[in-house]
Amino acid sequence: MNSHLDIKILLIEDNPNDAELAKVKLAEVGGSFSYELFHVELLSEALVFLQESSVDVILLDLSLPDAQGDESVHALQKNFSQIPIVILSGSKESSLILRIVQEGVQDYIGKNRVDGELLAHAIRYSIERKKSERALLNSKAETERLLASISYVLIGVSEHDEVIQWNLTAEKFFGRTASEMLGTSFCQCGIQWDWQKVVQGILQCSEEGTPVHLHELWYLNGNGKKGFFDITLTRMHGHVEESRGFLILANDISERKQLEIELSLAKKMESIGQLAAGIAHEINTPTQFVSDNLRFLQDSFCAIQTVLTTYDQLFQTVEAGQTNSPFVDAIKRTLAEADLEFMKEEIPKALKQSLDGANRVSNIVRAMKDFSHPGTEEKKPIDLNRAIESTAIVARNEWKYVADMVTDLDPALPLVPCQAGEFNQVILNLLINGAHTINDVISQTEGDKGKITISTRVEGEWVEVRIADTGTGISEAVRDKIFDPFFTTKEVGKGTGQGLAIAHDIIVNKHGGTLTFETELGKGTTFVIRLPLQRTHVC
Amino acid sequence: MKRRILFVDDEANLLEGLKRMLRPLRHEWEMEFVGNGAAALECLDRSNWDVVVSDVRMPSMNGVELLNKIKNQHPHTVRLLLSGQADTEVIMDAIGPAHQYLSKPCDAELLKTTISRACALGDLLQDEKIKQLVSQIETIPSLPSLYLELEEELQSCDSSLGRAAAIMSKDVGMTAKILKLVNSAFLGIQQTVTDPVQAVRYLGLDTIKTLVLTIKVFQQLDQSGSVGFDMQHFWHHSLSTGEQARKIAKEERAPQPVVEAALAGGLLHDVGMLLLLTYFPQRYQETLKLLANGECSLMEAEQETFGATHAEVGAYLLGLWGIPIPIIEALAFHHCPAKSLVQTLTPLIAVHIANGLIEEKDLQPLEGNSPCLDLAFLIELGLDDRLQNWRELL
Ligand SMILES: Nc1ncnc2c1ncn2[C@@H]1O[C@H](COP(=O)(O)OP(=O)(O)O)[C@@H](O)[C@H]1O
Ligand SMILES: [Fe+2]
Ligand SMILES: [Fe+2]
Ligand SMILES: [Mg+2]
Repeated sequence: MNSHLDIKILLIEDNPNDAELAKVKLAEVGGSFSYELFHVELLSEALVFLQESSVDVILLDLSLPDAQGDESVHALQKNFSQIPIVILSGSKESSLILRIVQEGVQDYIGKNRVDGELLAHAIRYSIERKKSERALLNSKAETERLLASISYVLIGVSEHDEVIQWNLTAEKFFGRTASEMLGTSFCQCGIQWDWQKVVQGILQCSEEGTPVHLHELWYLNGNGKKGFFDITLTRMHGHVEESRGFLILANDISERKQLEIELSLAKKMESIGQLAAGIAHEINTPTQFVSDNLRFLQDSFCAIQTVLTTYDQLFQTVEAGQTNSPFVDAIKRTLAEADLEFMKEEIPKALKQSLDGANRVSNIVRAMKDFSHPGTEEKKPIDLNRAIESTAIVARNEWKYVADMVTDLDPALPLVPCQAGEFNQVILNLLINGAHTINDVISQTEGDKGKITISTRVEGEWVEVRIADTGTGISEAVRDKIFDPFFTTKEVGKGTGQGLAIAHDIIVNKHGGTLTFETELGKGTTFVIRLPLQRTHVC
Repeated sequence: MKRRILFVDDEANLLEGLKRMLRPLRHEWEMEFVGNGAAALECLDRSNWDVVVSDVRMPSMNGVELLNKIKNQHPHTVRLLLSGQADTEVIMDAIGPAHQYLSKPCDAELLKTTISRACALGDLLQDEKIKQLVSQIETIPSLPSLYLELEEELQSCDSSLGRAAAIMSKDVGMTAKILKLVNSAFLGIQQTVTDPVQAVRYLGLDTIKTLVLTIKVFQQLDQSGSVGFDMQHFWHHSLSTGEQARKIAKEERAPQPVVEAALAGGLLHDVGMLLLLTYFPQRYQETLKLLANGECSLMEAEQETFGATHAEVGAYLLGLWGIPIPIIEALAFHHCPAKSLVQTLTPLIAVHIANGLIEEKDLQPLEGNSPCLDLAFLIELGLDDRLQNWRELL
């Protein structure tokens, strides 16, 4: 009988008696145990044989002419690690056997005890065992590949603060390789993120034993760039000590956060659409008083017309030669009713204020057009004074309740090459910051309105725009942070920490200018924009 | 006596415009115009004002803060907001302290009539007899907080039925009551409704809000224990009047807010009776005795014993709470609509007619046998020929 289901056995044995014994014993085994046996006498022969044919199991004698002790095992394992090995050993080799078994040999049988059933059992068993061992190895490799490939940062930390896992994503984010990191102390590993939160999380996790989620935790990546993680901390309950500790799984949410911020920005008001509510307010108020005044003028005209008609009648009777006209009394009555004094006084004012109101509306409309500047990516020479005025008008509702505005704009200012829309954005951001800080002062002191002063002038090859507020000033502690993206000292919903970062990007990177500030606590802050007059300065 | 109206706005031009536009009313109204909240409060401290009309956004003290202060310090002054704000957040905040909200630009006629109606409410709030009567009540019932919560939900730009239902469900007893109502074919709903979300969906947030207000107020002032007063009957009368007033408003194709206010006015129109009964039980028993003698109407009997009527007292309470003016009007004048300034089919007219028709049909009218409908007034408004139609709605 010889089918492909037979177990193929390679017997490596130089002693003919021992070889014969094994063959006989195997032949004795009955039942479902069908096999095919190949026999070689030397390790070298075995290696050659295995190059060409595959077997399911190796029966190995430990003392071969060309290999002593575990040499043969090593050689076989090195080249054919997938084949299980069963040792046929002499009794004197017991300590060696123990070591070899630890090194991964599947089983051994004492030559003096060789018995068919036992041998068959050992063979079957070792084949099975090898299979599951391989499966295990496979799955471990797979797990490792998986861990390496997931886009989450995965860091394992042992109970003794030792880094025991550091996946590829972690390498990518922090710019440190696993080989650098494994075995080092986690707390001193030098990565930069919100350690306070992380440590608190770990403490909480170890106390409660349940996973802890940390949201929007900042980190600096290998290049020092700021981003945000959502983190899950899980306790590992390994059976062996080395696998106890914490798993840190970090999901990079910087992009999402950026989107959120843009969304909340969109909700807030940093462009024309977003200023809409304020602009509507600015338009509704003059509309109200213009139409009230028109209503008054209409009423007045009616009254005046009645007076005129009566006068006309009087005139006609007088002209007709009547000296004692009945219309004299009528005139008296009409005049008394007509409220003429009030009208005389108020009509000119009503007209003037109506014109003012209409002007205000048309100014806002013009400023809106100026401000939005759709689709002008390229730099064109623009009138900064006018841009500043338009932006101030469009944003008026944002500052007028807390501040008066003073402008000192150099009328001789030359045109400056500029992306108008972007420049307006900068002015808007600075104005809104000014309004916010003044509001802080006012609400603390219940004081009067503050002041925002905007001035422009030429300084050699530069144009300088200064926006000064009478706000709180910027404390020393945050002075070097205010231009960082996301840095804000304001409550959620009011501040996003984007305003100055955007302004800096626009002025410095897009226009080759500078954006600096002078500040004094309790007095206020002045932001200074400098833009190069020459096109050539612009990068 | 001239009405006294105080205008507050930080925009001087706007105040001047108003001053000129309202000049023709100078014989009826005494008007003052001030530029900020502090000045307004000073005026209020110095003398009595019927109505305050305030801007919303102003430096230092905004209009909502101002009206809140006025609500506490001068509860008898009617509070209106006139704002250019498109910002719903502020509008929402304003609901609490303001009796009515107007947006700029506001048409001159609308402004005038709104102020006139506010003055009529002011009369009520300033009425010495009622004030005196109410001042004897130790703690005036407060506006149910659940109602305020629903109101806020309703005003928020992303109001949701689910959230409203959740708010409502906080009060189990009330929710059960509303479900029972809905399932009794109230307001013509045929479906069986088992959960609050469904109830909110079928009725709509406005109606739910009104029901919550009614049920909570009736609970606070429950009179089932008092002798000579049939709380069950009262409850039925209120429900039918509300339902009927709503039907009439609908039938006349009134705008949705009027339909909703007609329901609210109808449900609450007699709430003053509960107030008087709760706080003056003995004196109200005398009133009921006068009524039982059959010589006068309930209104006359109340006038005799209290110097004020349930219509006025109920309207007064809702006025203090800042419930919208059309509803208060409906309460105040539900027996004498001619005294109001109303010319068209407002919630008041709907409630007056509904109450009249229901009393007419009732074998034991709540307020005795004297006729309720003011036919002369209906004829004046040209509505008399619709009566038969409305009867058929019953
Ligand atoms: N004019 C100013 N006065 C005082 N502090 C300011 C001023 N402008 C900016 N800051 C500070 O800088 C921070 C960052 O400003 P910005 O980038 O505009 O973001 P945001 O205004 O959203 O907070 C502010 O939170 C504030 O602490
Ligand atoms: Fe009544
Ligand atoms: Fe009634
Ligand atoms: Mg900012």
